[in-house]
Amino acid sequence: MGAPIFAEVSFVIVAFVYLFLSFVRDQKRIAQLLSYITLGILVSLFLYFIGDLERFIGNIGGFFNVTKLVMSSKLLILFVSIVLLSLVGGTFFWKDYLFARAEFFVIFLFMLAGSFLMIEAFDFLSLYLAMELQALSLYVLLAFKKDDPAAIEAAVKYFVLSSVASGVFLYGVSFIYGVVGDTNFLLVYEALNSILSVEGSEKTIIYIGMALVLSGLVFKISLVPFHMWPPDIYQGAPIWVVTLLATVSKIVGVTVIINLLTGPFKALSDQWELFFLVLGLLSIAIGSLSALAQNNLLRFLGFSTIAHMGFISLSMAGGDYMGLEKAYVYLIIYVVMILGFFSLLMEGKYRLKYIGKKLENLDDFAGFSKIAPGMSFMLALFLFSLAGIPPLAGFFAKLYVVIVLVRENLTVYAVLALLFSILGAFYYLRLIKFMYFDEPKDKNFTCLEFDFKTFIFFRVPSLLCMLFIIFYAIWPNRLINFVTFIFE
Amino acid sequence: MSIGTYHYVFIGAILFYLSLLGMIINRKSLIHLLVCLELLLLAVNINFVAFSSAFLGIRGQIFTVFILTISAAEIAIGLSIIVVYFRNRGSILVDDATTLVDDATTLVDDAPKGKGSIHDIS
Amino acid sequence: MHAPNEFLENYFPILLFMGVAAFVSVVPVTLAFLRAKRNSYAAKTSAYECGFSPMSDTRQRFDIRFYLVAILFVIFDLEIAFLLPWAVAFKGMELYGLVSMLFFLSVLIIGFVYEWKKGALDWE
Repeated sequence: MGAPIFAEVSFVIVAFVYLFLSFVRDQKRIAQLLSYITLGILVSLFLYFIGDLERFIGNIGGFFNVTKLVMSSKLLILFVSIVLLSLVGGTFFWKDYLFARAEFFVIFLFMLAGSFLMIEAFDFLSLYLAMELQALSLYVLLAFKKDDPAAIEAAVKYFVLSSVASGVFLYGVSFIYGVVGDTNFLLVYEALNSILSVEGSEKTIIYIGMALVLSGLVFKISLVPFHMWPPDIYQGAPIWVVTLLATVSKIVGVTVIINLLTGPFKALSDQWELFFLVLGLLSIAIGSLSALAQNNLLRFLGFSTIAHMGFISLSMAGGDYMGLEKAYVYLIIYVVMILGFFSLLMEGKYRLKYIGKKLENLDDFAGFSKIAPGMSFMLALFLFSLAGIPPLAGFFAKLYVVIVLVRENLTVYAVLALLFSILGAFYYLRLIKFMYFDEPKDKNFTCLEFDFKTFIFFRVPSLLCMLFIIFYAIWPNRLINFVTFIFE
Repeated sequence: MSIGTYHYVFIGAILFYLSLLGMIINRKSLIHLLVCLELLLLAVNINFVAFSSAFLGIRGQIFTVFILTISAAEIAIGLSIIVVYFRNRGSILVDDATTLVDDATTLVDDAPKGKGSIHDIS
Repeated sequence: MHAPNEFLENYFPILLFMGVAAFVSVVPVTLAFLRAKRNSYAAKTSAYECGFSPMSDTRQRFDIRFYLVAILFVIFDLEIAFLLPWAVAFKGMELYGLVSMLFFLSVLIIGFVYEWKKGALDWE
């Protein structure tokens, strides 16, 4: 009893201890120290968890349920947060003290605790509370850069939209509660089974409730009718927080949706298959087409996120466990790709800012391969993988989705998705063209030289991600078998 | 005609749509958005309490208390974000939030421009 | 637990109601947009001050510190929402209830100490 959520409890306790460190005068020193301490805690947790996945499986009071899927999502989140904290540690060497306050680590740990609780929630009540814990921490993190109008505007926009989404989610929960009389996932599952087997009018209410609940959650992974936020937020917010939103938030969203689809809404698969089919196809279409017009790099990454999430959604539309498994595989590959890409981008931004240049629009990358050959080579690899060029991991992710769709006799949708993703490949390749085939803007540029500290904090994580996407093709079955094992 | 569960649900639905409409139509200050947000959550609360009394179950009421608390926390954070926003802009007009717009719309040059009248935070 | 089915038969109208509710809430707003006459003149839009002509702008700026106090107030205000049901049901919960509430309050107190030390409560 209690052991399965000991990580979350320890996060909260550590956060309270950190809170008292915020009274210390020299915050820069404290923050640097805290980033190493937190990194140590997360690394040891990661090693502890990876030792035995099934050690912590259990149910706590009907409110939380830890399964193998939850454990693997936790591992993924821990990996991402280790990389993220390493990036925070790296920013201190480039004289960027954005996060140089003890409160930052407090909020970050609350965010982690919220994410963990959210993916293992087994009751709509605990799911809602955990969702809000995560969302409230994200609002604060987005608004951390107090004197940047763009960042604050992004925070306001995310705050309003996300709050409405959680309101819609709650409205759906209220209808499900109205029919079932309880909010526990297991009880909802049993009640829905018995309700759906008889003809009755309350089916309609259930459908409405499910659609509203899924809409609230789908906002987190930015599928199409709820896709207005990523471009704006990606463009305005500090890049570190964008990385957080692009990885942790998506992992949590997809895992929770999978939990719901295999749990309480299992009996309604006819309904949500259609839901995810339409949303997925629209996301791929709108994400790919809108990205073409963008000039701001982060904005176009926002649209590319929408397209990628569309693929995950299409895979979920394949129904049964096969589709969900492949959605999860896609999620893992996507997170690794985007994490590597963002940590490289962050390194590039900091180093160029240090010598008085910026990397914001696509044409800022003109001739980047001459300024930083190694970095642009890795960026190009990640871009190829995001576009889905064959030997890299991104290609396999898309391939699995297509296989799922063809198996389910949804070939038309598979073809459409592929067509749009070919259109989408254009904008990834455009960035590569800027990097390799254009001349730098100012003729007397200087190459970035090797810097040991930067290498440790920024480059090592992105190198790890790059190794994953290159060598994935050699042992593709490892990941597949692992995911099959998770889903039993 | 006696007042039954679905009359309450009806009121909840009306309030829900009114608050959504308030967000969509309202083009004034961000404070209005916060008020609409609060209304949204209260509409949900009406639903929960109505269902809870229909079932004679306690779960809906527990939900309501938690929603009230969370909405207070949310509004507190929202207000602080808006205060920071005001310090940056000198305005909390929704129309002024145009730093982050689509590149495609700026090409056409009919992106909404700020009206320029500085609205007080009050 | 199974759904009380006969009771739920009554719920079909809810779908209808949601449609009607959307309609009912849209109509007055739309009508107001379309039908309202907008002839505003200076006397109509100015603030009403018992027959006097207004002395100053009614839209005064509030001090930002009022908002800070309001934010802090809201949090402690809602603490009561938890304390009251707890106090009513206290007899049935014995030590378990006491310990849980003490934990809850100690979390609040940590936050309170934080804002006190940070000077959020100082007016100057």
